[in-house]
Amino acid sequence: MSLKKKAIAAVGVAVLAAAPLLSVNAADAATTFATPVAPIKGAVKGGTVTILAQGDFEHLDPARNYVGGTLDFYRLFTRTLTQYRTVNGKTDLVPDVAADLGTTTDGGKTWTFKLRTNLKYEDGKKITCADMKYGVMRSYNDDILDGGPTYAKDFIANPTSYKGPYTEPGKDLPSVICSANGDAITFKLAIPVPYFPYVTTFGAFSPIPQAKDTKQNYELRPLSSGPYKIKSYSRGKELLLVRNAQWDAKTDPVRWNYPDEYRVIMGADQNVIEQSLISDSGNAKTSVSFDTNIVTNLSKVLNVAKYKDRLFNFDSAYNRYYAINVDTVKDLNVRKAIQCAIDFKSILLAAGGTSAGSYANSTIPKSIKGAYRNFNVCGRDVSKKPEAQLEQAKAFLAKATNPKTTLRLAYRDRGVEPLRAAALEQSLKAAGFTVIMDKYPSSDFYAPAAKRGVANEPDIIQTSWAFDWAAASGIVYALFDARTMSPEDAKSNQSRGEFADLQALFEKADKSATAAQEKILGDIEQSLIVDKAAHVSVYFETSHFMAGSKVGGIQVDGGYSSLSVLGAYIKK
Amino acid sequence: MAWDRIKKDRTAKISAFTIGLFVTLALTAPVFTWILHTSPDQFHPETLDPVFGTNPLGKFGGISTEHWFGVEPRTGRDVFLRFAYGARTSLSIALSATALATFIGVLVGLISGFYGGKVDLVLSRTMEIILAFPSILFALAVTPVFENMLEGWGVPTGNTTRIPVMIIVLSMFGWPYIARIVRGQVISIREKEFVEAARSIGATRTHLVFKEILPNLWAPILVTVALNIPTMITAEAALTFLGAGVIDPTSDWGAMLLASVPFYSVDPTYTFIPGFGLFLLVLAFNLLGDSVRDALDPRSSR
Repeated sequence: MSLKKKAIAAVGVAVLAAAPLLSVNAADAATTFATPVAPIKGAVKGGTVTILAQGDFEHLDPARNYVGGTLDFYRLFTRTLTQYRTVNGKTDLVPDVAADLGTTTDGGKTWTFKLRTNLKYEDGKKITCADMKYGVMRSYNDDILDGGPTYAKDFIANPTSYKGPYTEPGKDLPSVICSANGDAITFKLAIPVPYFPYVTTFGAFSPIPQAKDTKQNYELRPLSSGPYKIKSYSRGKELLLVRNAQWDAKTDPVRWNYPDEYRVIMGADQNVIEQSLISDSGNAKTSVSFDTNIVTNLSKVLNVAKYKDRLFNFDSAYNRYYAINVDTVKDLNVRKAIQCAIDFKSILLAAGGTSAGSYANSTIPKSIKGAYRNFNVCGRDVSKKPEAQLEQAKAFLAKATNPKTTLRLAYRDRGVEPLRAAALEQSLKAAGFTVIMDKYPSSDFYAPAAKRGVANEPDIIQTSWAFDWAAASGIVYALFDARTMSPEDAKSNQSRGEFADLQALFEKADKSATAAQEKILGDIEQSLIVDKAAHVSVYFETSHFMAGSKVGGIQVDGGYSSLSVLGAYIKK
Repeated sequence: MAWDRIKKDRTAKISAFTIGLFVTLALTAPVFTWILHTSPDQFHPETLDPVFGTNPLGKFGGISTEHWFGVEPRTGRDVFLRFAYGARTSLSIALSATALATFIGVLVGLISGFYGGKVDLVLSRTMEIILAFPSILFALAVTPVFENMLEGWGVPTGNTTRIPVMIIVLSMFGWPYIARIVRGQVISIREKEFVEAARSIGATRTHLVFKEILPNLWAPILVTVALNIPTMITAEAALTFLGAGVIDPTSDWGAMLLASVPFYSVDPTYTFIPGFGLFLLVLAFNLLGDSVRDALDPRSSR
């Protein structure tokens, strides 16, 4: 099964428990974290780590990368202002291109980060503050560089309505300021964002020299600032990373560099990858997959001593959900009918049963206590009654004044996703709907499914999310705030809802302190699910990833809730 | 006379019985839907292990009195019903393709053999070219092209286009086998005395072809058809298995095999059932075809 979803960075539970969002200001923590990461015990250099993938990465362009496993992986050649570091199961936010975790003097409206001045790209040129600024600026051209998170554009003040360097060449973005000697960068935000140092872990805050920017082709050959660089990339087939001699381990608090090469082999299907990792023969010994959960053969390997050391089981932050398109399914009763018709049980069984996930009423996980609400969906506790509520669905459908009984369901052709879609199709049919199944290729799904006002626009989108940082603000803004959308592109807001009462709440949340804001965001999600019926969270995934017997240093990344290959090494 | 020989052939009787069984199963599939109170597309979450959705509860893929052949992993769909409906899809595609191929093949063979000369040259070379094509590979390549073409004309995609496209593609590669045999037979018959006699009293060409020659060809045509059907069935299953055929949720044996592959280690029963069905039906058709050939031409050796 595939981990990748439009889900993103998830600050691990460790961070959540140990470091509430605001501790990032602690100056002493900054100095500790600025030191290079400690070596992994027993790790040796050399060899090739093979990564087996079902399909190609959606985007390797840092500004467009918004998919869990890819966000972990691209760090091998991309450094960002701040970054997550996971060591021995503990995840911390650390300065990466920055030299500290940022300081603010006005409650989060202005943020200044000191920069490391001794970093180089793979071509030997120095990484400058201007390059960091250009990285942010180009993310404004998200009409061309689509797919990425919109936080930079959403949060940074934009008094001149800047539209990006491709649309407005030569124009400046005055809210991002480099200090005179280039050793600090300041961001002036439109609203106070106390968690801004988490936002700067995203790729829009990575250095890109303007001269090297090839716009939408940049993702084919991003310039490396990390320990590896791209030697060859054949889309859909293979990506080969080799060492970047210009990278200096002493400057890097996040990354290791054990293998000589990382080779990503794309295009095998779920079962082939599962079988080869389980059999552990030949090349599979040095292989690992971060986009393929062991699902089909899980009953053969889970709790079996032989596989214990190679199987990585963890509760993932990925929430699998359905967005109901409010643009096309206008009648509230039809949306409620869809919500009641969703059979949580058969969907989770299609994904592998309770070993593969746990039912959820909300995309905000229970661990985010300040925002989580224990509400019912379609009048029942889904963890106790996961079956579809067909009678209620039919009743809602009968009440609809603007009935729409033919629904277009968009889903990705990857792992168990088609089967989950088939499970949904079944229960929707039982409730009286006709379903058109719209299968998208796995490397081109989120962007086309988010296009608004097009022919064959989907009515239901099968998608997923993991929090961008461990707070409701890392979920609710991206998924439900109408201000992130444009008339053509819903971005991450696949349900495309624009409700006046909720937008008023968003504006109230903007101005509130963290605890109050989290509470309001929890209310917004509850209303969007219960009152507006625009969203149905189904389950949180339980991940089971496998690595070959000769691969060491694999860990569960708390930052992105995925299997991390940053510390991988080949055992001698 | 031939009929008597077939009646005495035990292999032929067993094969015919097996084929009859599958055809009956295909024809009466809706009856079983009624008996079992479920449909081939109905999910049965209650039949699966709630912890591992890949494992049906019970032995041998969840075989029980409600689910005679067990249930599908992850969905709980009834395998017996999917098998019965799959027989429908597989047989109707294979038989339609055979019928179309026979029609084209007989027509082209008659024309080619009867007229000879340049007409024969062109038609024979065409047949040879088609026979030289790697048919499955070609079918895999043209199916999406056909589909896009039909989609461009406003025909909705899905099985409504997939199934006709499969029938066309399969018959496109099936007809030359029949045409070649018919052509050879026509060439040997057209110079026979009774044809000459008809010609001398001024019979039209149409009369000669359809009234004098064709009635003498039914035996070789029957044999070719009987041996063509199993080829079509396997080709249909192969195409679907490779992803250029029928799409879920419509049931089909090739599609069942494809869906079962991931589960061969956790639920082998599920792979075994469509595989065994396919094996049995193809074997029965082949043996029956052989028997028919032996019966019609007792001099030919096995």
